[in-house]
Amino acid sequence: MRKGIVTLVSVLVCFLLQTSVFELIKLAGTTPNILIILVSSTAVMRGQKEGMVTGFFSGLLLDIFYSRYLGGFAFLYMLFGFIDGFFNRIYYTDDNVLPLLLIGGNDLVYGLIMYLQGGLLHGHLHFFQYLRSIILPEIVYTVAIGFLLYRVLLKVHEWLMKYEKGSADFV
Amino acid sequence: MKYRRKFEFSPKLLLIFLTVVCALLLTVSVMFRDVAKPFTNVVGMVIIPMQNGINRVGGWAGDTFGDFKSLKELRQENEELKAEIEKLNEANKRLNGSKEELAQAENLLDLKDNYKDYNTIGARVISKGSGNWYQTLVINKGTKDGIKKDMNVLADGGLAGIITDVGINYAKVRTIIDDDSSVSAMSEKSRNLCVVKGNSESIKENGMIDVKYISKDAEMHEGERLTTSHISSKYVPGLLIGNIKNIAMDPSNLTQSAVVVPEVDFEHIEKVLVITDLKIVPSDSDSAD
Repeated sequence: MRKGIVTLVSVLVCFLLQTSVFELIKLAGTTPNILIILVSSTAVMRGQKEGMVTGFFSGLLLDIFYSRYLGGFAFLYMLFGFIDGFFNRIYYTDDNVLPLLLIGGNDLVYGLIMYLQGGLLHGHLHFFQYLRSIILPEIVYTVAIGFLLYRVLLKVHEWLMKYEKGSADFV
Repeated sequence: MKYRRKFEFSPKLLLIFLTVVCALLLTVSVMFRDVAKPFTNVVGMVIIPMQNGINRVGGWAGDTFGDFKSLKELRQENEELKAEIEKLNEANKRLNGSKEELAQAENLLDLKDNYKDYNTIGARVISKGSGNWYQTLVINKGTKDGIKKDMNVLADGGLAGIITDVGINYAKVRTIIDDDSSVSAMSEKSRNLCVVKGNSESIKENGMIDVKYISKDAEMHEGERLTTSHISSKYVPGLLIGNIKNIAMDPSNLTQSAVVVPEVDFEHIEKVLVITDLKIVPSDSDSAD
């Protein structure tokens, strides 16, 4: 129950951060992808299932407000959660590099996919311009914010773990 | 949590389950647009007030920092504004005279319908896409304020886009710079028809979008203003789009193409006006857009 509420609240907060707060403080015309930070961190800290559920709901929110059909972002973010969850096995809480690598990697994949469906399908062939003006700045900004946000999420995770102790249903 | 102990989802099973859910959502939302409406409205009820609030705070913070402008700057600005008011007053008087004349001429020619004033509702842009890839806007007015699908949206005195989706308290706007957008347009002086197509790539590069299908005999001039045309099926006529540039013959020699600099500054769009008059055309007519 507690886990469910924490997941819901963090998805909501991160969605608002990404779509409203960081819209106001853009750097170099880009906003960081906060939801990717949330999904990667959750998956690597808490495992595949939590990562997938978080990813699914994050993507669903994006679908509702920003895309024409439901399900696309939900599927993509859910996959991010699934894949990042594999790294849960080699992750320990002092490891600062792995989550950041995953955040950066996910954002790169996200950028490439968005280029494929938003750029290439509309006949925009200047891939390197997209890479330079959108994909790379977004990765840099996302990883930088991820560095801070990951710590916050880790604190939340540790707080959750305190209550989970002795409970068998934690994976 | 207890039931979980009896039946534990393995990650792979959950993956399959959620994939099926996504596929179902996709199919349902492609085939029946309005089935998900109640659900999305509930989510909108929760999220939109929060986004609204954050934007208010952001706007307030911007204003507060703006308050610390130096007195000297303000004085100078005051001077400039006064000079401008003078100029505008003068122009206003002149235009009022012309307006009378125009009204008389219109009456004579029975043209009144062409220049009617549209009814508008003001709205605030509460978010611009979900990051860096989209040219969609979300505004803070919805069905409860009388917003309907296909209403035209203005900003800075020019055409910004069209409403594509409405919730109870929000609406999505597809801007004219979006790759999927195309607007039937007309040059103001030479009255030639063309189509303005969004181009998300060139708007970032040099702030222009494409103009296509200009007749090869058309005599458009550089810098001429483009407005929405009278034959568009979704856009009401006479809305300013922008100034045309770089007119050139297509390789096919059948049509000409050009680019247009939109009147609206899409990077800094904050407030919009929604035109509540809908263009009404017979449902079986061909679309010029």
